[in-house]
Amino acid sequence: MNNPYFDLLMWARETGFNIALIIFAGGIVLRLTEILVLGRKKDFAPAKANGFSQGIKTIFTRSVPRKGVVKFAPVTYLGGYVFHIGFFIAFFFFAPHIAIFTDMLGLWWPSVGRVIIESSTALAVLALFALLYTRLTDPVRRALTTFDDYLVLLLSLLPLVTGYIAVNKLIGDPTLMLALHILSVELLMIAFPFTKLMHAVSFVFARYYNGAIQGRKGAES
Amino acid sequence: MAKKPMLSDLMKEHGISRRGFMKYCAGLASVMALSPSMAPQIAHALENAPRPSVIWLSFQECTGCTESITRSHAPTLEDLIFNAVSLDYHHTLQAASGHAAEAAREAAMKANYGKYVLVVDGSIPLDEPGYSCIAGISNLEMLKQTAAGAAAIVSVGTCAAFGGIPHADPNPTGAVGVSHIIKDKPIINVPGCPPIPVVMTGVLAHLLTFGIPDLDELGRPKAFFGESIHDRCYRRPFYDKGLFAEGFDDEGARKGWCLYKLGCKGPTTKSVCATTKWNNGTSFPIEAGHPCLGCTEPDFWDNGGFYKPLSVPAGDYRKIGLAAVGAGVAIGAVSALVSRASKKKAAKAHEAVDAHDLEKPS
Amino acid sequence: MSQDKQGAVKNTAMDDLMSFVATGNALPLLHEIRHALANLLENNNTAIIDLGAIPFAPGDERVLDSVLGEGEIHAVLKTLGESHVRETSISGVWRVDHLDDSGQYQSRFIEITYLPEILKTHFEDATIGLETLTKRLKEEDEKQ
Repeated sequence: MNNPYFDLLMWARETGFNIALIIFAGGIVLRLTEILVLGRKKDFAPAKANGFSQGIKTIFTRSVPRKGVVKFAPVTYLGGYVFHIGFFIAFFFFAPHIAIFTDMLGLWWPSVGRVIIESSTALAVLALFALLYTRLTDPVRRALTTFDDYLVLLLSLLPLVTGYIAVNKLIGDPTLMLALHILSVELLMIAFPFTKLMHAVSFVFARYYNGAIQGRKGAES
Repeated sequence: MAKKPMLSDLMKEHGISRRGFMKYCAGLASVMALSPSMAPQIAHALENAPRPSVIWLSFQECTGCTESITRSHAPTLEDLIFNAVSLDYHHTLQAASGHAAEAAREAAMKANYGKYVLVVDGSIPLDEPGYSCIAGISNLEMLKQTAAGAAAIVSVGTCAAFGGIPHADPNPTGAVGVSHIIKDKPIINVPGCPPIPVVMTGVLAHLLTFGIPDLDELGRPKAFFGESIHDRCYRRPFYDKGLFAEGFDDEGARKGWCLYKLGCKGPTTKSVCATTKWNNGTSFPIEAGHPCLGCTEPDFWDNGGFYKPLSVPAGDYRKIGLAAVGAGVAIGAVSALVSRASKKKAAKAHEAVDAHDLEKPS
Repeated sequence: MSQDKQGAVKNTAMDDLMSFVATGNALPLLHEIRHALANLLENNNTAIIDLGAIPFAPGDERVLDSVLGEGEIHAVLKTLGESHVRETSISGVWRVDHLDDSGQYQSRFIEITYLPEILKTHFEDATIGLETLTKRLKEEDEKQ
C-alpha cells in the first residue's frame, strides 16, 4: 500500500518540476534572445542626447505612476501594487521558498515570520479579486480582455490560495495540498513564456527601449 | 493447555496492589491517548478479559521492532502487556527453536482458531519465496496459513505495514506489506522505523480492552497517527517566526531552531513522536537536532532524500535547466536571425508604387 | 554561557536558555484548570488532565510551576516504581506523577479534586489487609 498523495507530491517535485523548468527557463531565454537579436530599427536622425542613461533611468521611474493616473484608475494601480508586493513578499521571504533558491543557486537571505507571509498572501488575493471585479464591470476593460488575461489571473491566484491552505492545513490532507500547491506553481511556470506573464522579465527591456528612444530624441519618457 | 491466569490474578501474585493496578491503567489510558477518566473502564476490561493468544511472525525485518517493544526495564507497561497476553510464538523471545517452535505455533493456532491475534513485523518478498524462509516455509505461505485463523492482524513497523526498507528503490526482493497480500482480515498498521514502544503496546492494549481502534485511510490507528509531527513539534514557534537552522552546526542549530531547511519531513508525517517521544519520554529526533525522516509514511526512503526540504525539487533539475537555457538561447537566436533575414528579403523585394500603378487593372 | 576558571561551561545557563522554549500551552492549560476548579466547587465534578497529551516544553513547565506552586502535601506511592502525589499551593489542584522502576516518567496528570482516587485505600486491598493482619496476629499469638 502506498500513500497516493505522496506519490503525487514526488511526481510534482521530480518529473513535474523538470517539465515546468524546461518550458519556463527555456521559453523565457528564447523570447529574450529573440528580442535582443531582432534588435531595433536604426534611428538615422542625429542624437539630441544620450539615450542610454535615460533608458536606464526609465526602468525605475516608470514604477511611479504619472500625475493624475492613480485618481483616474485607483483600483488598477493600488490593486496592482498590493498584488505584486504581496506576491513578492509571500514568495521570496517564506523560508521553504528560500530553501529552493539555496538549493538551486546557493543563495541565502533571511526569512520573515508567518504572520507577515499570511497577511501578504491574503492581501494579494483580495487585490486580485478587486482587479477581476473592475475588469468585469468596466465595459472598456471587459471588451479588451482576452483569454490570456483570465488564464493568468487564475494561475496567479492558485498558488496563493493553495499555499495558504497547505501551510494552515485548512482542508484536505496536508501532503495532498502541498502537492497541489507545487503543481499550481508548475502550471504558472509552464504558462509563463506564452502569456503576458513575460512582462515580469520583459518590462526591463520595454522600459529601457522607451526611455532610450525618447532620450535620444531629447524628449521626456 | 492449563487455564491462563487473568491479568489481575497475575498482579496479585506479583504483590501489586489495587493502587498499582490503577496506576497501570492510568498509564495505559495515557498511552492509548484516551481521556484519563477512562482508566476505570480500562481496569474493568482488563480484569474481565481472558488472555488472548498472540502469534508473532517475523519476516524480512531487522528485529528493530522487537527491540523497540522490549526496550523496557521490568516491570513497566510493556512487560505487563506481555503478561496480559499469551505470547505463543516469537522468534527472538521464545525459548523453543526448530521443530519444537513450529509445533508450538501450530498448536496455538489450532487451539485458538479464529480468536488469536497475529502480529507481523518485516516485509514479505513476492519475487522469490526462497529469499526469506522460516523452517523451510516461505514467508508468503506462512503468512497466508497463519492469517487464515486470526481474529485480527497487527502489522508492526513500516516494513510489515508498507514494505519499508526492503521495498525501497529498486526493491530487489519484490517486498510488500501485509495488507498487500491479506485482504479478508482486519489489519491494523502500526508503522514507524521502529514504532514507539508505547504506541505498539497501546495498540495491543486497545485490542485487548476495546477491540480494533479507529483507523485512518492507510489503516493506522487515528489515536497515534492522526496528527502530524509538525502540528505538535515544540520547535513550531521557530517555524512560525521564520527562524531556521541552515546547517547542523550553525547558530540556529545550537539555539534549537526549526529544522525544515535541513529536510525535516514533519509537515507530511503523521506520528506522535513529538508528544509521546522516545525512551519513556526522553526525547525524539527533532529534539536531538536531527530532522524527521518521515518513517511512518510509506516509501519514506524514496521521498526525495532525508536532507532535502519538502519544498525543494527532488529531481536532477540543474542539468535539465542548463540544457533548457542553452537550447532557448540557440533557438531564440536562430529564430530571430531567420526573422531578420526574411525582413531583409522583404525590404529588397520592396517595389516602389505610385498612384498610376494602383489604377492598373490587376 | 558562563565559564569557570578552568574554562568548563556550566550546564545551568543552557538549562536557562532551554527554559525559554515554550509552546504557549501553559496559559490555556492553567485556564482549563481554573474552570475545572470552579466546576468542582459548583457541581462536585472532578477532572483529570493528562499532561502527556499536549505539547509541553521546559518553558511551559516553568510557567506552570510558578503559577501552581507547592502545597502542604507530598505523598509518595511505592508500587511499580514511585508515584508522587502533591497538592499544589492551589488547594484542590493536585499533581500526580507516575514514574516507572527506573525512575523515568511514565505518565503525568493534573487532578482537580478533593482527594485523588489513588490515595484512597481500595476495598480489595483492605480485604487482603484484613486477611494479612489476621494471619500475623495468629503468628504472634502462637509465639506467646
